Amino acid sequence: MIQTKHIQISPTDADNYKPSKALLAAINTALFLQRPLLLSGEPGSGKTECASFIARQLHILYPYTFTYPQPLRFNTKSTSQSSDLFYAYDAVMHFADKTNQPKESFIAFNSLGVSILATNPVEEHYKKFRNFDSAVLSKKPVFGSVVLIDEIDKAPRDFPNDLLAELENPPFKFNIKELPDFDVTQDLRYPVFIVITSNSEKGLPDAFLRRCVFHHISFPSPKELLHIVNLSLKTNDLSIEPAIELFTELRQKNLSKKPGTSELIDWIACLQNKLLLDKRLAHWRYADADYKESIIETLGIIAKSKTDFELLSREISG
Amino acid sequence: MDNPINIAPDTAAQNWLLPLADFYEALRGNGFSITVTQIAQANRIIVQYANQVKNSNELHDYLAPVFVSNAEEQQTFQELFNQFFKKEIPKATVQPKRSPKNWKWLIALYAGLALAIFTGILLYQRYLKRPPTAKDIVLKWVDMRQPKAKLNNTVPLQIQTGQLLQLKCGIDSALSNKQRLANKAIWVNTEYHWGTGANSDTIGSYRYEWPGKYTIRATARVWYNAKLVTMQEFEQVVVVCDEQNSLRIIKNWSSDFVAVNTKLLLRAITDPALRGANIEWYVDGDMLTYQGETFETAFKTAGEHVITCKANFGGKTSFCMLTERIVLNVRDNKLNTDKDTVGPAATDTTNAVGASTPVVTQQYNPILKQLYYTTLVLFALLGIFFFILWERERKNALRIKQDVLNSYNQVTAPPVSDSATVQKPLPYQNKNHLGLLEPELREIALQMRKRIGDTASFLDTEKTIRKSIEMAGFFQPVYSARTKQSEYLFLVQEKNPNSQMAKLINYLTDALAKQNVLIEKYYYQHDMGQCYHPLLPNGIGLEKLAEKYANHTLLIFSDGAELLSTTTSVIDEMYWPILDRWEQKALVTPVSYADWGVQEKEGLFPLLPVFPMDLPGLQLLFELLNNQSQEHDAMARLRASREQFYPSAGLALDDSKVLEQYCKGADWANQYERGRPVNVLFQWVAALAVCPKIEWEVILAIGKAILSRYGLPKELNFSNLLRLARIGWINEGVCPDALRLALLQQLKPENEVIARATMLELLQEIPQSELADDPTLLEEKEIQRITHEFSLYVHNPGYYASYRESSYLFEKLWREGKIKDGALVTYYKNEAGAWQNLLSQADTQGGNTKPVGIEEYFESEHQEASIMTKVYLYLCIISIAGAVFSYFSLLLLRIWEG
Repeated sequence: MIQTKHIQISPTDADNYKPSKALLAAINTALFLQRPLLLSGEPGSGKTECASFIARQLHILYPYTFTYPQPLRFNTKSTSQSSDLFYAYDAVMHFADKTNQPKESFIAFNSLGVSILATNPVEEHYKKFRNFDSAVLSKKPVFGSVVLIDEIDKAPRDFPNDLLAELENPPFKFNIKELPDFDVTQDLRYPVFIVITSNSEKGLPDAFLRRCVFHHISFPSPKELLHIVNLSLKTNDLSIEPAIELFTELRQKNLSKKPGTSELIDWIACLQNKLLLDKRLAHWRYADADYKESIIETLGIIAKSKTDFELLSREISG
Repeated sequence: MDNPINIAPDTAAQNWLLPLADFYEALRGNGFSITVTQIAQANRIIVQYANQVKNSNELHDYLAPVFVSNAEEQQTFQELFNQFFKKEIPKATVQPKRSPKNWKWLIALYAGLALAIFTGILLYQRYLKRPPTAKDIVLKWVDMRQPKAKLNNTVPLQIQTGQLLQLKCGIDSALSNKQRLANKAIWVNTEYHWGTGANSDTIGSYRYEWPGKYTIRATARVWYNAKLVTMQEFEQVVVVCDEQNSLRIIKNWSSDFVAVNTKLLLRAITDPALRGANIEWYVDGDMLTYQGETFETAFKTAGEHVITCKANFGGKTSFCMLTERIVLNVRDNKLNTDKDTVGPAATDTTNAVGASTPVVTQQYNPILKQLYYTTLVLFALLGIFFFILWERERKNALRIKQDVLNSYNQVTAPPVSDSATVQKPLPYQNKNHLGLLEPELREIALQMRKRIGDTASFLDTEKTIRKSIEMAGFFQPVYSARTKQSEYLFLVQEKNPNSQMAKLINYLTDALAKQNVLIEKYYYQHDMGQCYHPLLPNGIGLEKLAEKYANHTLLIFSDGAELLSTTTSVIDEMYWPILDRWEQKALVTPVSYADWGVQEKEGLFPLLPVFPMDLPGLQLLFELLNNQSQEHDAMARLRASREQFYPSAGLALDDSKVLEQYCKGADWANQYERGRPVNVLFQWVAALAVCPKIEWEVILAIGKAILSRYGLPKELNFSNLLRLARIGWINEGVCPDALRLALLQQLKPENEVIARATMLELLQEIPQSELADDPTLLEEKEIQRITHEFSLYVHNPGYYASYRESSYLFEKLWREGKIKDGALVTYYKNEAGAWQNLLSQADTQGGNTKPVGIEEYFESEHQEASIMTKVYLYLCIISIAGAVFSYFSLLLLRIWEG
């Protein structure tokens, strides 16, 4: 079995996700220190995809430890509590139950709970839980995993504070307060690597930040954007380049909400669909009014407010 | 832990000693909270990756994630890391580099080059000449009857009895030109032994009276500057006979051309008075063809043929034999006659002399020729080079004239505003250069986020179930009280749209909001009863705000003057009943505690807690609001910490000296530059004077640039911006002309360059679309751009060569009176040369710079511009003349060589 402190990744050429050197160093630092990796960056900068990349790479490099090539994802909500990371207890359904089912059948494990549980051998009573079969057994009974806590900014302020204790140091452990005897501790031979993403919309508590390894992903350069779009649209169309140049130029305008890569991909797909991706785009300033009008019609994909749309339209129409 | 750690111990070349303790201190100084755990983690990483990292960039990538917690910190960490571990070459301080254009240098360089070439020639002539040696000297002897043919001992000379034989000895070797010129210094002395037993002589002529075969022995001594160089000996056999010149050939054709198969008849005639000769005929070689006086032959093949006739007077062994050679061209009749007209074949009658020897020609040393070739090419290239420069200069001048005219028309297309002020500010892009929050501000944010009890409650599911189970299944709802985060209402007085204090409060609000503090913000101008918000263009009344935000904590950011009644000097009854509805409220005044007077202490304070906007004041305020201290305690602490506050209200800050004293109050700003004290804050303020109007973005951008130059980027923070915003004219965004002039005069040239370059960046970032609809704004922006570019160009024309056009354009605007910035005009006029500015010219006498007024600058620029064109033209002409001279020299050499 591998020693967790020796886990390191180096990207394979086959992977479509190309992290920067700094990001790769941050990932390896987090793996080495066994700390959660906190990724911030503008929407569309590839934070969530980074977690998938880590899961894929760990699966390729350590296939017997990380048997599952996907991250276990927890989508943070404005009502999330720290216990939601581990399990959810459907108290209302339990209250309404007339068949006298065991309490376990109203408890479903969530991503961090699954990841900790998965590091331990299967015990018979685990099977009573609502989703043990689908969440753990269906994959492989014992495995290490990558847990993605996505968009932690959405959570109430208490959420990260409550996580402090949970994420202090491996081995991670959790218990179910509704089941006083239930207590699971991570088997350290199977690492659980936590990736947390944040849009930097609001500050996180200092104490929480100190427990994480942080990296801010800058918005991709035009060259990286070209690579991303080509991969996403499965094309190698050269006329995409001027579209990316125009997008980058428009993005630098004083927009209230800057568009991300997903908007770019949608926009370019739309341009392709409308047959606007041609030579005229490289010299759009000198294009005829009809062409400019057609471009303006697609700006709704990039602009997220009326003022942004008007600003971009003015820019295009000159 | 604090010891330096050695990275990459295996490779000596990559060893770095990391002063980590200092680095951690620097991080702490820049707002990072460095914990022991983080240091331990960093050390673990260093140990783990020490042998893997190849450079400081990679080390940074591994360490940064441990210490940073947001994007701004990541940026700051990188800057600090680079400062510590990248041995960057420190930026050279900018010195005024403007000096007269380098045409004098160009001429000097050219003259130097020409001088070097001619000196080279002279040196070659004088010093590369060496005395001829024995190897250099090759002598030749000639018979003066045929002076072009050298004597050859293998072929005996033939001469008639009684005829005078004249020989001469000379130098045959190719001496260098200088040696040839020095031929006068070479003297050849030849001694002849004529082989008759007579005494030897040096005359070189002798008359043989008797037939016979004699051997002449000659000894030649070559003297150079009276020194014997070599001695050579020569032997020549001479045959003396009576029959010389008696053989004659008669032929039956007259032309040198004959047809193939033409019958040729030749007859040899000798002097009948002499003994009968034996006549032999040879055709094309030494094979005897015929013997007898008359010879008849015909040639079957075309081409050159030789018929030789030999007359032997004393039998075959006789030494007296005469030879006559006839060379003729035989042609084919079928050929075109035109081709037959090729030059006549030589009817060589080498009477009694052997085969001719090569003609000796005069040769010059090839180095001389190469030298002339080199100068020819060099001067030709220089000629072309200077022609191109001249042409370019000429075309440039024409193009610039046209461009300047076009640009001028563009800039002044709308009627130039005559009003001194333009209403709308330039729409600079706010990049918010402020990086990290000050630690005190983080503490304040923490205080402001404190949770308080809420009136609302919620259904506690867990407790409800437990209670219901306890109650045998009967539903027993359990409600729990909620807590909520404190919420704030900020009322900000915005006395004018360009109030820098209001913008500073905006910055404060944004920074706190980013720290999750819940803030609603409204503005008012002079009447607090009428507030407004960007989303509420029609405004909102104070009473409405009191209803809407009743549970918020009210903070009024104002000096409070508008709250006071003009009659009672206490809070006006118009406002107080409404303000009193807020349970928690306070007034945050920009007036420093040191300046507090009756208004604050007696007018406001009895009813409303008043705190200064400085960080210590804000800390006390939020302690009070969080019930961590009582009001009187807070006031007592405020009084106790009076020395933390600095006065500003009573100071005449529109006087540059007072302003400088005010800036010196900031201890961090008192630095040394090249051994002299400099106040960085004052330089920051002075740098703002390069811009006619002061905007928030200008303050930040110039501040960042100036502070970075002095290695103090972290001083771009709330406290220092508050210090600036307390300066009245900065707050209002307009600097008085007199003060602006004084500030420009005291601004260091290095800082002026940085400030103007920063302004150019700011101006370039303004989207064109923002100005498209407002010609006045466009004009203002363009004139600013031209002014800054001109200033940078005149400071360093080489580095800022791309701004050359702007300098012409600025001159045109200046001449047309379109530069209406009074302070700038006076600053550049500098009629008495009283101060240094970017026009200051490098003093050729000393190492210093001398002040130059703008008129003097323009004059010198014009002179230099026209001089440059002339200089290029003259140098071009001189180069062409040099090339022509070299060409003719080469021609003369060729002619001389024959």
